[in-house]
Amino acid sequence: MKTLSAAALLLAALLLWPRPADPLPGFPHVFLWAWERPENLEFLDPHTTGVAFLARTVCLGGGAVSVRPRLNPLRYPPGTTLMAVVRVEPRDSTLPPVEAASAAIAGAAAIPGVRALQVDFDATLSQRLFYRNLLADLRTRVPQSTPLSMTALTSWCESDTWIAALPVAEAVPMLFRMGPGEHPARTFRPPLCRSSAGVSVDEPLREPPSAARLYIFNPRPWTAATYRAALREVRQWH
Amino acid sequence: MALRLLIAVLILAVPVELPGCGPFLPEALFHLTAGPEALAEFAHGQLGILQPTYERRYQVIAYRYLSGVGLNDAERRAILPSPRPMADTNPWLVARNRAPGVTPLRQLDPYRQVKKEGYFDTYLNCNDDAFRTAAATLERIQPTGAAAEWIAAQDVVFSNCSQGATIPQPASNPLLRADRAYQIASAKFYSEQYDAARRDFQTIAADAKSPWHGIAPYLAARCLIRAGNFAEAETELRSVAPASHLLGYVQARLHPAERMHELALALVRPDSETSIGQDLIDYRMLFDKDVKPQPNDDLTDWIRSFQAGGAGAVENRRTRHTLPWLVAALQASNPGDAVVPELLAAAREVKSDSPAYINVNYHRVRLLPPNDARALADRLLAGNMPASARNQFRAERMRLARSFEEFLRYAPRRTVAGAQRDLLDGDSATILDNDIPLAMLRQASTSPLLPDAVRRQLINVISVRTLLLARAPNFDDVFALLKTPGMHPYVDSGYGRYTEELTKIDPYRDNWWCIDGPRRDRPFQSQPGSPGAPFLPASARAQAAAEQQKLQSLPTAPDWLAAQTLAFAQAHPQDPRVPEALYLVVRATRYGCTGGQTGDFSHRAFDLLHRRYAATDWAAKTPYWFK
Repeated sequence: MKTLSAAALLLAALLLWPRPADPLPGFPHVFLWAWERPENLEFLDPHTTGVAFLARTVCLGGGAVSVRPRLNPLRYPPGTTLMAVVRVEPRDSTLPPVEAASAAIAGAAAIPGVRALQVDFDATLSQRLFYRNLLADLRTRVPQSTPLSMTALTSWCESDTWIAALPVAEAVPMLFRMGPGEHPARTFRPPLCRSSAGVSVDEPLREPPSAARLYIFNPRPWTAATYRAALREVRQWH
Repeated sequence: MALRLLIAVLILAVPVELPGCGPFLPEALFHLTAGPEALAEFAHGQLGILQPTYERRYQVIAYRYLSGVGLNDAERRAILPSPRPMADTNPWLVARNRAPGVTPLRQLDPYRQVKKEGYFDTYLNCNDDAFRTAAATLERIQPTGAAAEWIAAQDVVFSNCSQGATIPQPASNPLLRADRAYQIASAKFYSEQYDAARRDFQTIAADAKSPWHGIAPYLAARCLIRAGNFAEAETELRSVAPASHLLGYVQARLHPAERMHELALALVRPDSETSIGQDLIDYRMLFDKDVKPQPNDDLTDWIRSFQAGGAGAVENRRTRHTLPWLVAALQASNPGDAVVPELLAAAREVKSDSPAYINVNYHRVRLLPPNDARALADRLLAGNMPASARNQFRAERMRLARSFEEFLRYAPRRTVAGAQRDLLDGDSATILDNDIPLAMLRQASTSPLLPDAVRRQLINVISVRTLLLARAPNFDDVFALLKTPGMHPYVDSGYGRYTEELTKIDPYRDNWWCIDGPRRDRPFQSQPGSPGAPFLPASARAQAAAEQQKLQSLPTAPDWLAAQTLAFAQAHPQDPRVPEALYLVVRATRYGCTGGQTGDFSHRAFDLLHRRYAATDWAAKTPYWFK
């Protein structure tokens, strides 16, 4: 009886526990990731779905920064919420000054129509301090009204929680393309990792993620059919 | 159930493709799939063993050599990709920033975004030629004393590369009048005012005194292209620049099939240094768009066939009787095919100075009876050949091994990218893993035929296998294994584990061993296409099979380590190593590959540690168990 009471109390506590505030209020709860290839997303519903599109790739190497902009067309319906994604790719171990890299990333926030900026950088252990400083500098360059998002390896959101105090609104654990034998957790401890998750249309999950906002990756160009199928799936999760 | 069904629908709807993101771990490469490892040698006709996966640029080069056309120095320079410097050095900025009294500009964005509702795209608006031309013009203007004024206007011109529509004012300085007119036309062009820019360029073309009047008609036609008026641009370029790359580009857009045919013919002409670079770009672009040339041509037919593994190559060789088609037909053939004797006879006639020599002889080794193949491979391996070809010959020779010693001799391969290292490729590692008994692995671990790094790894493999195959594993060894997550019972191919230190946990979960996942994580399973070890005596093969049977029945590492440790803890509760071992078991269930029982083992080890050894540091260091 005691056990039952404790369980009931715990359940009540969980149900009454306030959900963390949405770090991206007013943003759709589903984003399609649109990578560097021609993408025609005119079929999507802009009221429910946003587009996080690769806007540029910032290459770091030899102590310098070079920017490769998106060179493939992206079509979307008017009114779509746009999030610019900047992929950061270090080419060697000589990283440039943080300010130079940060300025190159910040430029994507100025693209007309962009409401948020997402940084995609698989920083190694030795690059973490650079990444931390980069995000701090980036936060000062991008208007406060533009939320910063970052993609995260799931390990960053599990035991290895170095990202906890980064100046971003959310970290999006990527629950796909994981190592053999690895299965993503349903939820994560660091608050930054709780609100969003990245999934892929071609990788089944053992358990649906508990995150309220989902970023959906497609290794092929999006079609209306894959979009509808993905939405059906997501609706079952929430 | 519905969730799984929908996931399955998604999987079926979307073909699996390459992953879109990292991490990208270093991979040992023994031959490259996208192109040859030594571009300069390849472009001099040392083709090695052509791969159907090579980029089309290399297929074209190979075809030229196989057809006897080859490349001259200027063609080589035009056709080979030039390495791009990491930091762009814009020649205009270099020249401009050197001018006295000018505030230096650090960078200039040449890309411009398309402004359109519901559309995002970026294009290269100001290309390298524009910056080179500006730098050369500055050099011409500098002696006139009007450089500062001209630079100020040029800054305005290039400010339009990335955004805006700012046009310089007409020049008051008569020395700059003609140059300023060109700057104004250029600024309109870069700010997407193509009609106005075209009119300006036409006016400049009519001004015989302007230094730009020669190029202006070409630029006026370029305005038509930017505005999407290809048909008019074609007519105009035919009269003002009939041999220009721009005309070729326009024709590729307007008449792709015909243009592709023209390009295919042009690409195999000798002495084509002035056109081959751009022709190859246009040809590849049309190929990528799956354009079918009208009419057919041999180059395109050959590339399509070769890239498709030699489809139709045997028939084409019979009618065309050329070396490229022999190479394609050999690639398409397998031992036992009816056509093999005919192809081998033709291949035997290929002379040692032919660019196809290594290639056709590789296929001869593949197709000849074993004794002949061995003799031929040994003869060729004694000579020179590209490193990737040598690796592939060694792989074939290893398949033909008559003894364990021969197998070991040809098992190592040399990496062809990055620092050269002698390692095992997947085929040799698979045989060592699956087909060689423990006693012979011991023999291999002392063989001078294997590289030091491989021998060192074998010693570790033997140690783990000995433990796993033992009837009653010794806890001393289990305890040591718990502390060395880099130890595993299978042989690595390539660079092996990312984390080299055996005692360190690998962040990519390559710790101990797994029982599912890709090959390196799924040891003791025969691989498709592996020849096994027919060179071993039957008794050794039987011993290897018996060992394999036991190894294949093993659970994943954390489960095995946990089972051993829990059993030992039960029998020896006072052993001082037990608390630490339980801590290590829980750690293994966190960082090792999990199986169906891993969570249960983790829980049991955690419970025992906290129940029986709660006061120890090991219990304090173990706050969680892992599902």
